[in-house]
Amino acid sequence: MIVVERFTKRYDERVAVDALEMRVAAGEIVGLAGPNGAGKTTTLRAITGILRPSSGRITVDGHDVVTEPVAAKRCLAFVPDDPPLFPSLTVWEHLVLASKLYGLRDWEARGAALLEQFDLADRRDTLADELSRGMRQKTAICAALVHEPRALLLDEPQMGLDPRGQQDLADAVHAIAAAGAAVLVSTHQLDDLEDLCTRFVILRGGRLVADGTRDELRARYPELPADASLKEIFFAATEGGARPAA
Amino acid sequence: MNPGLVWLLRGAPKRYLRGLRRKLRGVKGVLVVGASLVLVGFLVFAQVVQMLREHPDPQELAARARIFGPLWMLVITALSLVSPASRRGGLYFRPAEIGTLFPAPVSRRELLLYHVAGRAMIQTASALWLAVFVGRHAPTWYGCILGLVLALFFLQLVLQGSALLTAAIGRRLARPARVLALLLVAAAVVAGGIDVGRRLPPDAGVLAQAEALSQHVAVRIVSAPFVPFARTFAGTGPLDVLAWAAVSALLVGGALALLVRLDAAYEESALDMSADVRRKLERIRAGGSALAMMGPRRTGFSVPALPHWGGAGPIAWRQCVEIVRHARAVLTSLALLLVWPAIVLGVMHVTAPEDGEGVAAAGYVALPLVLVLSILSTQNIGFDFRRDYDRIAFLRSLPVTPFAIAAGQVAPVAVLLAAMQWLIASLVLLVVGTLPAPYLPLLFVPLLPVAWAVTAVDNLLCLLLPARFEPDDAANVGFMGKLMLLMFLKFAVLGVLAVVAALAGVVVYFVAGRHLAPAVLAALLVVTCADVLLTWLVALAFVAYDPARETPD
Repeated sequence: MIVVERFTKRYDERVAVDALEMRVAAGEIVGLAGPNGAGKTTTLRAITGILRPSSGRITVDGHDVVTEPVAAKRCLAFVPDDPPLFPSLTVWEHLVLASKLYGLRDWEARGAALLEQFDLADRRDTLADELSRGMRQKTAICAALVHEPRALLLDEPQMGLDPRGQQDLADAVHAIAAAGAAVLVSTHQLDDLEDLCTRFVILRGGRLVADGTRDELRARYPELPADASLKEIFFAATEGGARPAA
Repeated sequence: MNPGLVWLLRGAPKRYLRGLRRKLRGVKGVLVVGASLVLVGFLVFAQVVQMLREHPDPQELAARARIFGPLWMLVITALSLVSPASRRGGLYFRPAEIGTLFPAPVSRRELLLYHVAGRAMIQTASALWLAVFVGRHAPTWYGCILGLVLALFFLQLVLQGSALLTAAIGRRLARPARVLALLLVAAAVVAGGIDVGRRLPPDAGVLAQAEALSQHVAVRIVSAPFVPFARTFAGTGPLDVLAWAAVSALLVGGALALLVRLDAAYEESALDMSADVRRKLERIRAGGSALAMMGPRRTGFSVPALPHWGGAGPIAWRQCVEIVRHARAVLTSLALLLVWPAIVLGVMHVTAPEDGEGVAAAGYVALPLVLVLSILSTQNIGFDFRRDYDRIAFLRSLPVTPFAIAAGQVAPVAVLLAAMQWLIASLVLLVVGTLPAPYLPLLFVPLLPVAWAVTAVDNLLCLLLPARFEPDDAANVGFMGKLMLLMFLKFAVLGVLAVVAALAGVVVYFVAGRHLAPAVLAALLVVTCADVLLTWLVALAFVAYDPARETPD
């Protein structure tokens, strides 16, 4: 569904992402992890077509994000970190906007159900700038899910959400993946990632340093204990505390 | 265009009214919006009355607009193209637009048209606002409005075109291209100026020189694209206005077609530009003025810690460090103030070099003018509560009394303002030569309590009526009304204080047998007492400020 082939992004002399190869298949939930400046947000922005690859190719559902941006974007939804909403639109109007941008019909029942699911039904007519950060996050998630995307990109989605909100988000992500969508989640909350994702991609300095399920990654670092957490694997991969097996 | 973009554009006026309605919640909101509207209404009314009272010859107005209109537009376009935002390149999109519209299935061209249409709405509002002030220079009101709207549209498209060109060819190539274009325009104007200077008699007036310059062939060539807009503005009848408006509209349409045809990949430069604008906006909000946009802070400088003074010392020290690290902004502010007495005294020296009394008189005119200007422009050095809206909760958590916090916040800016005024006054008096140099330090004594009062009033108003700038507020009549209201209130409070101090001075003057020194001391004593009272009021306003409820607009 999401295919990243030798994606490189340069800013003048600085290489933000270097020849990244990554795939997210339909129904998969992939966690994108890495230290600050590893290139996670750059990768997500390139997949959404906001940033142009310096070289390489990115496709979403077979559509190249550079040459067929509208077709590629029609399949995906992106929830950025601390999503900037339109301050003078209400919660419901954000869903209306999404429905119009994606050309939806008869979406109202799904929109209402999403608001209900994310505990926003009683905030339906509240303006975005009167919402707390968590509620803004939930609004952005509802607006992203209303068109039932086939590829969902989430940047730090758990930030600002209360435990109930985090659980609702996890349920929604699992549901959308079960329906065949490819989900890519970027976060520093490795504990959340561990519970949510089926596979993990770890970046460091713009390069891919690890890619696999938790068991596969664990096997790559024989020095780690058999029950090593994702956090321990992450440190091993990004700080070189343990050497990967050949 | 994508229906979502159309829906957003169509809803913009409704959302503006919704925002206005929100401000009307509560007595304070009603009072502020009401007072702002009254002030704006008064300003508009005054302009309209002046327009109706004057009966200039329409043909004369038209002739003047035809001559100077293209020249004005040329100057404004050139200035816009050398502005920092234009040099940076890139279209500005709000964070919500980047977060929501950039990943949406919207083509680049659709997004560009949305940007153009959105800016056009703002330009229309700006043109209507501008028409109030320049209307009396146009033969007809409809020509004035149409001319201004179309001219601002065109200017906006030129700037957007420049941004897209930068995105298309890269900043490295765009910069020299822009410099070359501007140099060519400057060369044409300079060549015209030299030629006009040769041909006109030396005693020709400034207006005659400007007219001759605008008619020079080189200047006419570079200002040619702006002629239809000036002619629309200068139209004397409906047919005249409509004909030139049609030509102007064709130019606007052509510029728009070129823009769309260019189809530059502007997303990344827009992302950079918008991030840059947000950073500057944060700095403006934190620094309280456009001068805060100036470059990065110098972290190498600091100031020694101040004594505790009941907690006021550390508070004042933090602001002193900010002042030192914004030295460029402070010095620019000072330089901007020094320009006025320099111009007045310079002109006096050139026109009457032998006239010592004339120079002294000019100094006495320039001095109060610049002191009033310094009081007006304290926003440029607002290193106090004005930059601390986001830190009120933190300040509230400190184990320091509100009065000490208020005093610590006000003191650095008061001292800085007094120092700036003292420097300007000393320079002017030294040039004029009416006060011997050894007495100059004494000048600081009366300036400090006055500067404290000015700073305290600024802080009091910023806590009672918080106001913060947004990029689109330039065309926001409500926001401008609020700024005018704040200025009015500031001068009202300071005016009352000046009257009370002056009365005290006059009474003591007569009681003390017509001696000036006790009268001045009495006036200063009144101002100093007022400083204590105002600082106490600032402390009360600081305590009453609710960070959760007060959202500065």
